[in-house]
Amino acid sequence: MELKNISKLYTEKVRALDNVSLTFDKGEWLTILGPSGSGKSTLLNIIGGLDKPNEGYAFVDGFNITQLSQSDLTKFRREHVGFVFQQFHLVPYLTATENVMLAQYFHSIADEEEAATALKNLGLGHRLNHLPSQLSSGELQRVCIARALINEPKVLLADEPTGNLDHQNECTVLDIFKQLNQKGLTIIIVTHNPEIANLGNFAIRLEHGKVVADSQR
Amino acid sequence: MRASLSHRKSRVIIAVISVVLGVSLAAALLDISFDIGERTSVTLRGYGANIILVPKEATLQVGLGGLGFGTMSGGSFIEENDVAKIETLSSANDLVSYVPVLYSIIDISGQKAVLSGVWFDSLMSINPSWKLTGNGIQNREDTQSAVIGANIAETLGARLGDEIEIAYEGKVYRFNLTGTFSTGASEDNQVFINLKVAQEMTQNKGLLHMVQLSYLAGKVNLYTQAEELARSIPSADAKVLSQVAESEASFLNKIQTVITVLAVGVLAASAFAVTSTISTSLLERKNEIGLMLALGADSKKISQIFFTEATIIGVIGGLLGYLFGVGLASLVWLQVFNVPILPRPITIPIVLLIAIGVTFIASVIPVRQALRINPTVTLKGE
Repeated sequence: MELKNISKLYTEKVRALDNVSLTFDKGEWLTILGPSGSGKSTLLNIIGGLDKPNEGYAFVDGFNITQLSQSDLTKFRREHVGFVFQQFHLVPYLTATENVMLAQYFHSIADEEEAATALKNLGLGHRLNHLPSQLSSGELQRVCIARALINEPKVLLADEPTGNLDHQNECTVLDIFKQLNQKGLTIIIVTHNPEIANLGNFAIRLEHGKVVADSQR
Repeated sequence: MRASLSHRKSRVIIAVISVVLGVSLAAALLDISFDIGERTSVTLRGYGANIILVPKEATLQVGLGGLGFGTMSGGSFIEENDVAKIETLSSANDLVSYVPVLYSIIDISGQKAVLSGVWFDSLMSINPSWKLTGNGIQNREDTQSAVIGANIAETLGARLGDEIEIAYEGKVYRFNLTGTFSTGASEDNQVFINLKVAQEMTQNKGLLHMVQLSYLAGKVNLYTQAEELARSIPSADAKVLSQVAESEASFLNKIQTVITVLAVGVLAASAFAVTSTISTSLLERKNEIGLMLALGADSKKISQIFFTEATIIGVIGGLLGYLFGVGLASLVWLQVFNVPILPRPITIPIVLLIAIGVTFIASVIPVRQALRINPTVTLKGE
């Protein structure tokens, strides 16, 4: 993955990202640190094909995603990326299994058994038919991870994945990420929490849209 | 899909109600428009014949009601045997009735008058608006009864049950006066007896001067029908009483135009209501749509979801709308014509298509707006 001179301007005076460049390999874990409004989520959205930069280019998994059309970007998201959000963003009227199946449906064909297995692998075998309102925040985030992984993405993008979790659930989720990374999945995590940076291969720190530090372990 | 619909029950119910309101009125208007032609035709048929058969090369001026419709010569006749063919034509089901007529000039109490030999029962069935006093002529074999127009009755001072004398070519025939009627037109100056009796009296057995026919104008094209009659009955020319036919057609056209305009207006209003409901519903679901976009849902799959929901709303709204519409149309029909409307199965698919069409069209703009949602904004919760 290579990002070169990426800038994102919301208005002429508001630069969310300012000339950001970075390179890292498949199977690595990148942590993006920084205070609120520093451009972390914007950078994650550009890498995930949800947003486009005004300047620079980004190669992700062999695609120059800054050059892709909207429909190709949609296809890229569907086939190469899995998202985990701080707010979970589960559909409230669908069960845990159905929420996972939704991602399958948009990718190819919904397979209930496969979705249930993904949830069981994350310790949610007893929660398959529960609605999001019936799950704890840790369980919600695990459903979110199952949904992100169900289509076997090349990159897992997580925006403050532990921001709404207590310490115990935070550890559970980070353990899952560690295992996934050990199996070769590329992980990019946006967080406020500097401790999470210690888990990855390297971290960058953003302030006012600029990379102010990067650390290689 | 079921979960999605039941989760937003109130929105779905409002959308279904919008469809039901629009579609029920459209279904009622549709049912009425199907029935109005027949119903008004039946009503208008109270005003007499709309096609007449006259002998070929007719030269004697004849008239019906206030209308003149040609001439005929004393020597020109239609063969009565040919007339039976009227009942074998494909349009026989739409024929209210027909009356063969033989005219002659007679003396009645020293006055000249027109004698019409007719099938009296048929004459009354195509002219139900005529006011008959007395029993009229009860059957086609009755050789004793005569009915006279109001003007003659007044001149003669004749009363029901009186014996009247009719002179034809020096011979006198006596009849019992079994009825008088008032039409407000030329019939008030005529004498009516059975066709068979008139044919024998005038020695014109099996011959006619005219046949009056009354068709349901809403169901048959009178001009095409006249051509078919002329082809089938070689001794006769068929003429459409254009004033009657055109005013019927124009009346029906006007009513159907009013109904169509109303139906389109009602459906447009319903489409606006459904558009507004679906727009609100999609606005409430923008986070969900943002999530779908983030998960890589293409516009085709997202559109598919919303259009399928719209179709379900359309089908439910269409079926309920049909039921309400038939009820509404029946109420109107009972009030206006005193008969219930006949529900027609063809209305169901038409109404369903209309309902699905309305919800589909109403969904196009909201769905297009939904597809333009920026997922990065909605996922942030802004």
